[in-house]
Amino acid sequence: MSIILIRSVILYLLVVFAVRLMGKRQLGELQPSELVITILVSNIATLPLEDPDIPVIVGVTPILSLVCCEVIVSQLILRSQRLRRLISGSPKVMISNGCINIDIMRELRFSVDDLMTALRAKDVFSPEDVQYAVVETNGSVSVLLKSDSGGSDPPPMIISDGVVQEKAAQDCGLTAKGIERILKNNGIRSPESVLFLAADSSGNGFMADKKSGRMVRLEGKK
Amino acid sequence: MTRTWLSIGLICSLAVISVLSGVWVNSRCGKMMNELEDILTLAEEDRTDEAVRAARQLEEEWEDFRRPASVIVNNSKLGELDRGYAGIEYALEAEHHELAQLITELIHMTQLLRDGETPGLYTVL
Repeated sequence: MSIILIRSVILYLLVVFAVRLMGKRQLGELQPSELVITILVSNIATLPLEDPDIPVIVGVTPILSLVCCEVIVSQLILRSQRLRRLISGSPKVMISNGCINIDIMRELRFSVDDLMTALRAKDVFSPEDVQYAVVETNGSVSVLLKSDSGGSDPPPMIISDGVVQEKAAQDCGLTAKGIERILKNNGIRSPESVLFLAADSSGNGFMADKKSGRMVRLEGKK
Repeated sequence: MTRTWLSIGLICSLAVISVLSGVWVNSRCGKMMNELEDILTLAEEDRTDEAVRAARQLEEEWEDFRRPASVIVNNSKLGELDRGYAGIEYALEAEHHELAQLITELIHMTQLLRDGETPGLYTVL
C-alpha cells in the first residue's frame, strides 16, 4: 500500500513536470501530436501504479522520452515549414466569399451537421452571415462574419517567417515582382527579413518585419 | 529554448542510462550463466563439495544482482529466477536427479533476461 502511495506521488510529480515541460501551448487547444502525447502519457503513468511488479522506471522512461521528443519536434517545427505542415497539417478554408467549399468539407470528413455545430459554437446561427471560415490545425473553426457593406475575405498569408508562400501568392494573383514592390514600398529589401505578410492582389493587407515585429498596414492601389 | 535544451539533455541522459544498464545486465547475466555451466560440470564430475561452494557464491552474486536489477526489470521475471537460484544448493546437497534440468532451465531463463535488456531487431519489435 505504502509503495503504491509513494509511486503515485512520484508519478504525479513526473506528469506535472512533463506538462510543464511541454509548455503553456499544451494547456490550451491541442495540436495532433500533442493530443497523441497527452493520451499516451496518461495511459503509461497508470501502468506502474496498477502493477507493483512493474518498476517505476518503466513508466518514467517512456513519459520523459515522449515529452522530450515532443518538445524537440515542436522546436524543429518552428524552423521548418515543411515539417510543420507534415506534423500539424495546414488550416483549411471551409467558407470563402460566403461560399462553402464542398471539396474541403469532403477532405476533412466534415458533415453539414459538423459545420453547423462549429458555427453555432461561434454564436453564428445563420450560415449566410459567414464571409470566411477556416478549420484550424487544432480542429477549431475560426469565423469571419460579413460586414454591412458586404465585406471581403481576409488577405492570404503571402510570406510566413521569411518564406514566400508560392501557392497563396499565385491564388491571389501576386507575382514575384508584385511582392518585391510591396516590400520595396515599405523599405524592406528581401522576403527573408519579413516575419509575415498578408496581402490581396491589389496590395492591401498588413505585414510585420522580423527585426521590430511592428505591424504595418499596407495600402495598395485603389 | 530552455525547454528544448532540457529535453535534449533528458533524452541524452536516458539514452546513456539505458545503454549502461543494458551493458550491466548483459555482463552480470553472462557471468552467472558461465558459473551455472561450471556448477553443472562440477556436479557431473561428482565434485559435489566444490559445486556446493560455487552454488553458494552464485546465490550471493544473484542476490547482489537482483536488488538493483528490480529497478529496471519486471519483478515477476526476477521472482521466477530467484526461486531457481535459491534451489541449486539444496538440489546439489540432496543429489537431486533433476539437477541438470534445473541448471539448464536457469541458464535459459537468465539468457532470456539478458536478451530482454539488449536491444535487437526481435526484442525491439
